[in-house]
Amino acid sequence: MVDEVQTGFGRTGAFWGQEHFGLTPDIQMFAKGIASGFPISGIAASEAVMSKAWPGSQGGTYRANAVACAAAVATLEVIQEEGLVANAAARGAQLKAGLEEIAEKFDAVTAVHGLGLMLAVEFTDKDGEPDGAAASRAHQHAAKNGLLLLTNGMHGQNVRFIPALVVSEDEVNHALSLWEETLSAVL
Amino acid sequence: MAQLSPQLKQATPVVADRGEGVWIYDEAGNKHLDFTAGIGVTSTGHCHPKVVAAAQEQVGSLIHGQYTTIMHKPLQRLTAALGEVLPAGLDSIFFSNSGSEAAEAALRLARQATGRPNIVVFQGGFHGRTVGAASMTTSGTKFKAGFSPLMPGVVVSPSRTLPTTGTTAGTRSRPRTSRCASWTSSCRLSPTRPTRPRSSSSRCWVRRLRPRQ
Repeated sequence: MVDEVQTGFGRTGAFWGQEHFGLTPDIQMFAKGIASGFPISGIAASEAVMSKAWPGSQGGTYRANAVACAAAVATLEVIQEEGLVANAAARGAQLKAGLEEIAEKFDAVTAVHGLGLMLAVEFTDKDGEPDGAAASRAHQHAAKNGLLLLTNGMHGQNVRFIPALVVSEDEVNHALSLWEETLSAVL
Repeated sequence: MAQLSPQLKQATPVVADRGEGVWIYDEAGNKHLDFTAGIGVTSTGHCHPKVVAAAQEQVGSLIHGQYTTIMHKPLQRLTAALGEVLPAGLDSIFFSNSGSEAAEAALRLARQATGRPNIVVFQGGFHGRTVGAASMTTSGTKFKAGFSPLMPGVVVSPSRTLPTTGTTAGTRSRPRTSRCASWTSSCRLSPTRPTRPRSSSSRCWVRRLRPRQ
């Protein structure tokens, strides 16, 4: 089984994250990017596998809501028409290169992880331990400066960059400039 | 007066008024560059005109058509559209509402299809917050602490251990055949774990995974 909830629909610069790894799942999960914000998710399998689901095991009152389905169809069309998978790959490469260049200037920033537009910057303290406090300071300062980011990691040591797939070259450059200002202020 | 749960805190002080593309506008008219996309949800940006138009049109004709009672056109259209983009052979689709529900559905199908109860997950992955999905989540104790018993039958395999410095020099652990392999219905992995996105060097690790003999 492959969990494509976050990695699907172009997020990693390929339509599915599994394409980077040559995986061929029996069951695949999807959600998040499918409908641009409407709550809809699901699983896909071969008919042979899906037919092994027991009678009564699949249903639900609100599932496959009509408005969410309509939004999902439109989302898939936009992804295709606007070439958003290729844009995610190009803008992701631009963002990653920029984050790596900035990371070189700060000892506390020790890694840039991820694929496509699913990237994270990792903070490490002087003892080589994950530094959640530094990541939190950067996250808060960036938000104050108009750049909204996420944090995660076992120790909260990562700051995540995960913009919409429509992000432009200028918008990526703007984010990078705000990020460098942020690190200069908090580190 | 009602208020939000004290655990439901916002990570930023932004009170959103509207969104457009990668921008969020607050009530004072300030614009914020949104590099969160609602945790990776707003794929086409906030309020893409085509998505807005499709939703508005649908709201005016049918909001809810329970899908084991009646069929509706948007469901037929979406199923056909997904058929164009899903990997070859994965042509049978079950719909749910959230990532957690998808994880539960995958778990249920794997057990029913194989007749085996165990699920192998890889260390560091996040698969959701419902009890079954939380039992398969190893990206943080906060997602699974305090409401035991969790679902049994989850076996955690080490995944490639990323170093705290650098992206390529990590220790790689070879997945081993579990002692309970004959009870194992499926392996589950995230192509890039949300908690700690992998570098491309982990492709070597993934290639070592082999179907159960």
